[in-house]
Amino acid sequence: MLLNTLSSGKKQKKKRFLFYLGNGPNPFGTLPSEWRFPLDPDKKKQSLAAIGAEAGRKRIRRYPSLCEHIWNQMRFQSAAHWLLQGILLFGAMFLALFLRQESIGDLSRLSSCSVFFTFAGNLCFSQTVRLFSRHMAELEQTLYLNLKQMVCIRMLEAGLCDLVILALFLGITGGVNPLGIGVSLLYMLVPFLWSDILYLHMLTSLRGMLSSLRSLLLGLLCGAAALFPILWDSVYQPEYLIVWQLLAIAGILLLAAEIAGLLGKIEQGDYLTAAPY
Amino acid sequence: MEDRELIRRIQNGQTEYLNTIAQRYYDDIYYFCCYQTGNREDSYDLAQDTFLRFIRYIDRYQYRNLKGYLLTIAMNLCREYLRQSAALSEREIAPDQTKSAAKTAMASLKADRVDALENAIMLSEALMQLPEIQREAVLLHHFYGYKNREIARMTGASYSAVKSRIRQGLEKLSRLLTRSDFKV
Repeated sequence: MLLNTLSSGKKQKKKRFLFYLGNGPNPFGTLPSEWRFPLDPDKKKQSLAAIGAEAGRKRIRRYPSLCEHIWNQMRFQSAAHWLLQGILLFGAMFLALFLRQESIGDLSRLSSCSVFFTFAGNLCFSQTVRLFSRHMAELEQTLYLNLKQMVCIRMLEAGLCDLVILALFLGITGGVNPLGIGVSLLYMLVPFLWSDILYLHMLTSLRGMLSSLRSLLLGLLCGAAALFPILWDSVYQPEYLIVWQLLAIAGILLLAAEIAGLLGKIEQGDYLTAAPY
Repeated sequence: MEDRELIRRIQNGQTEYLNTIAQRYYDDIYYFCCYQTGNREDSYDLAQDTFLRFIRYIDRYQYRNLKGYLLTIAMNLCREYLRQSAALSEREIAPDQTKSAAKTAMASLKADRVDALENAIMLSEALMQLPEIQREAVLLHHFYGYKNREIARMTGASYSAVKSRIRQGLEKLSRLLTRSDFKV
């Protein structure tokens, strides 16, 4: 009799369990009391005491967030840097307003935007040159700087500035270009990419020999790469679009490799070529 | 106090709030370890280790879902435990330990607690028949109420993998419970 009662009780439990599983996820977010083992209060107390002791020993180290890192970097930018950024932005706005005139041809509008965008990009980028000075990696070790982080934040800032200018120009040229915004983007991005690659390569290979002014001049020189397509009007014809696309893909890959190489140099430091003792 | 506020205060140096977190989530973590490993005794240590590991990494923790984070730590510790147990060939005796320990505890309990204990033993026995990955998915979904996407994030598996683990786990459990020879 007792055995039968027990066995029917277990069947009921099984049914309840099956019903519970069929009801979908538990909406309360915690294990229901009907599925809980009784906890041993002494063992729980011991565990909590051990956790409490570890909590008492814990010393919190502060890790600033990305926003704080960016803010800290921005605080130490010079007034000349902000002035340059302002000039570039106003320049882009004035150029955009000027290019809205109907008398200006599509090709002139596109090439002007492309050239301005490339020069502006290089000028923004020239501010990061100070971080590429020779033996910065050793200085980083001595002064507890995070050079990689500094370079990334500066690049992020330059990239954001470029994006604002690009969006401004695309709004103007994309609407009037019969080929659409995508093609306008390609025509502007390719000279910018190749000029940037050239500039970045020169900055890293000539680092330590460049002052701020020299690097600025070098940036302008590299920006001249954007003038090449203007010399041949036919390059903007639709049949050359595939060439632009290939150049864009190659440029992106090369830029990625250049940045990876640069970050590697920052990480490993400079090779000392001094004579042995 | 909300979890977010607790974390903010701890990260500002008020480490005493770590105790509040431990008290709040100890039971949940303990039961998860218990059902995941099938060993009630070692689950106290696993729950404790979960909080100790949490304390070690609290500096870098960015608040999202605190309980989910703690369960993820517990899950990793349980995996480690099961791997070690399997290596020591103790894995098979774990459910029996639970069962015998539970039966001795049953004698000193009131009737309603006995009922809960029997339920828990049945659940533990049934869950231990599932593979480890299905067991953790079923536990997190059906007993802790996590969505498939959240479990995917916690376990590092894809959404479809989690979905199929839960489905297969539930099918297996249903088959097991409807079998007449399944004894608790």
